[in-house]
Amino acid sequence: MTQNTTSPQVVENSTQRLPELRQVIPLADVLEFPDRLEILVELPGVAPDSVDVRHEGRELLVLAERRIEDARLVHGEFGSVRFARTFALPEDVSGEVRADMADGLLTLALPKAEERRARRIEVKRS
Amino acid sequence: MVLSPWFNRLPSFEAIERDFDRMLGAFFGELATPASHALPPVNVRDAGEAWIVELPLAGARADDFQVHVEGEQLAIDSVRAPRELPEGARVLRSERATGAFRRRVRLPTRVRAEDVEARYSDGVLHVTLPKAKESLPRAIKVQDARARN
Repeated sequence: MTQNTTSPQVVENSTQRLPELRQVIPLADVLEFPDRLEILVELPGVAPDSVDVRHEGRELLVLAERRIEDARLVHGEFGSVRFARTFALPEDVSGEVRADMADGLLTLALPKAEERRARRIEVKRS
Repeated sequence: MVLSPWFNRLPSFEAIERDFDRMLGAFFGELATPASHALPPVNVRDAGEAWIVELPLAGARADDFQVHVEGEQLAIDSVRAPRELPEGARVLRSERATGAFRRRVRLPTRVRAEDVEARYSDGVLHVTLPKAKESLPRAIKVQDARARN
């Protein structure tokens, strides 16, 4: 039998596929404000209800999964990953941690204990 | 409150993370190169009548992106400006990339530039590029040679 194979322009790519649920540490910025710390964690492609934030003692744990379908992918540079990161909370943080998530960015607000908050001291005329 | 011995040697923020990195053997950030020098990754899908290009960029807004299409070439420009801090605030740690990026993708077929759509959702830009008519797969009808006699 004579065979002829024409390579189509698009072939199932030979780009390295990410293995199932690779573990990744998400990038984070930490900002300090007079009354709080903010940790901004990048979780691109993750929906808000897929993020797990746990405050355990002096640690904050962030866990999330992102699922990327393989369907009809001809070029894949990012895939399914599990994001995981633990932050050690500095001493001056105390109280309820607030977590807000939008557009793949998780913002954690860590209030500082009252006595640790920077405050302006009013200079009174003596 | 009694301070246990280890408390006095409390590791810094960074040291604790390094320990976890080693333990988990995990990658720091998704990309192999430091974020400041790296381009966002892209995925390309063949959705039959269109190509779909996906580019993750967390914490952006729709108007941070510019999408240009010409023939088979797609260019996505995005800018991430460093956050402006109010007085009294400072950066303790900066890992997220800032600056301007351009990703170019050469698609396997030409596309209809006027019908390209893009939306930004959960930190990923999705660009849908309908394939040019002449590039769409066409079924060739097989004529029965006998019927023509």
